Amino acid sequence: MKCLLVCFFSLLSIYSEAQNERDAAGVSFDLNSSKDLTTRYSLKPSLKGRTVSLLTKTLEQESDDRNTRRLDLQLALERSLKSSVRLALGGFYRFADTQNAFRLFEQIGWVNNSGSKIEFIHRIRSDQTFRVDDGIEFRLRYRVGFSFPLQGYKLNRNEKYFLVFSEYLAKYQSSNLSNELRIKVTLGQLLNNRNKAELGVDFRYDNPIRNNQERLYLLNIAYFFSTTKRN
Amino acid sequence: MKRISYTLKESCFLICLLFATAILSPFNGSCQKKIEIEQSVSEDAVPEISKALIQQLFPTDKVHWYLEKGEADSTFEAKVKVGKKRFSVEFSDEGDFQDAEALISEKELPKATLVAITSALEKTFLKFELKKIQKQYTRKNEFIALIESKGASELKMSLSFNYEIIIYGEGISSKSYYEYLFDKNGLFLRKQELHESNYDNYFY
Repeated sequence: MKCLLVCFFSLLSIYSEAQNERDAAGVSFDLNSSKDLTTRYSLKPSLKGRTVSLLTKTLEQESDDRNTRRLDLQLALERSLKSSVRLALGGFYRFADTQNAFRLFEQIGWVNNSGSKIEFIHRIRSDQTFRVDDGIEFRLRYRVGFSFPLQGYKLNRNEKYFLVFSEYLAKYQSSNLSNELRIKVTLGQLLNNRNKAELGVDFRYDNPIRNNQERLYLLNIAYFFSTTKRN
Repeated sequence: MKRISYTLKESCFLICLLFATAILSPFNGSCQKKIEIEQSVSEDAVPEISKALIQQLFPTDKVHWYLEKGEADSTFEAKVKVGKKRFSVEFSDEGDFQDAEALISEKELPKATLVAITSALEKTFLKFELKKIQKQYTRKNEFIALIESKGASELKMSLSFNYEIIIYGEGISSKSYYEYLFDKNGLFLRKQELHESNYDNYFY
């Protein structure tokens, strides 16, 4: 919890130093489920939503609505290549205030644990987003992070864990290239053998090396449950 | 303020997905094989006799102490990293030495032992991975001699040890993690099913 507070106030300080850019803050939630189809294949339905309010806006954005909300219905099919390497294909439909969208994604994720209590996480994902009024948006993403239990060497039921992700996104749409940086700090709890709950702070920095920067601060609440038989 | 509005088709889709999510919900009990809850403890909670042995063996290394609560009893475990080697030494709740383990890589297993172990596992699983291999020393004096000679005694002495191996195994309709114990020649001694890692929150 201390780490989360430190991160939250660090992000707030960044925000207060850069009020002249476009900033937004909001709350997001994730409800993720997992169902094993065979020993190798599993289905991952998710429900993700968020509501965001603009904190600052430039003159060109005066006509923008200050609030945006969206809801994603996602489904992915995952195949485990090894015990800690997963390949997945999926897509979601997004209901949004502004414009609904459909996205396809392909990803590979793997976890490294060299005998220590820290697990290092990697994910490479590509996705394609389709909207009625815009061209197709292509994104290539790389996520790297680590996780460790807070109350011992391995994570047991009713124990907390700490999770940090950093993700870089390269985007291409209608001949325009842009990028985004995301950092997420999460405090989680393994509730029992199949359920996890997480509370996190998500910082998203659009076009970090250009002038038209956009920053988004999200408080994220997530819940994961699995039907996989676990001990 | 704009509000999210859904068409009838979209609403039906949303309801179907929520319904499917509810069906997939896992609140239907669980299977428990090996129950072992481990938590970090301060050195003050550890019996003096255990602390003294660890201080003797690893005087300058940082030691992490854990309390492992099993179904029947609880034990104390000291984890130490010496250079690139990781050791864990287990004591009873009264402080008596139980066993010590040294983490090794698959390359450090003798070829004949590895063949014997993989042959045994091939009969049980369609696919398996050796996730973690530890040499387990059950004789206190031999382990003390091993550490104090900085590993040299292993070459000179005929030490008694087993291999404790964490295995990920897949059968026709099941997959899980197991803790196997083999003797120094690769002969199977026992196995226990373990808690399965779940990485879903890392990837979605």
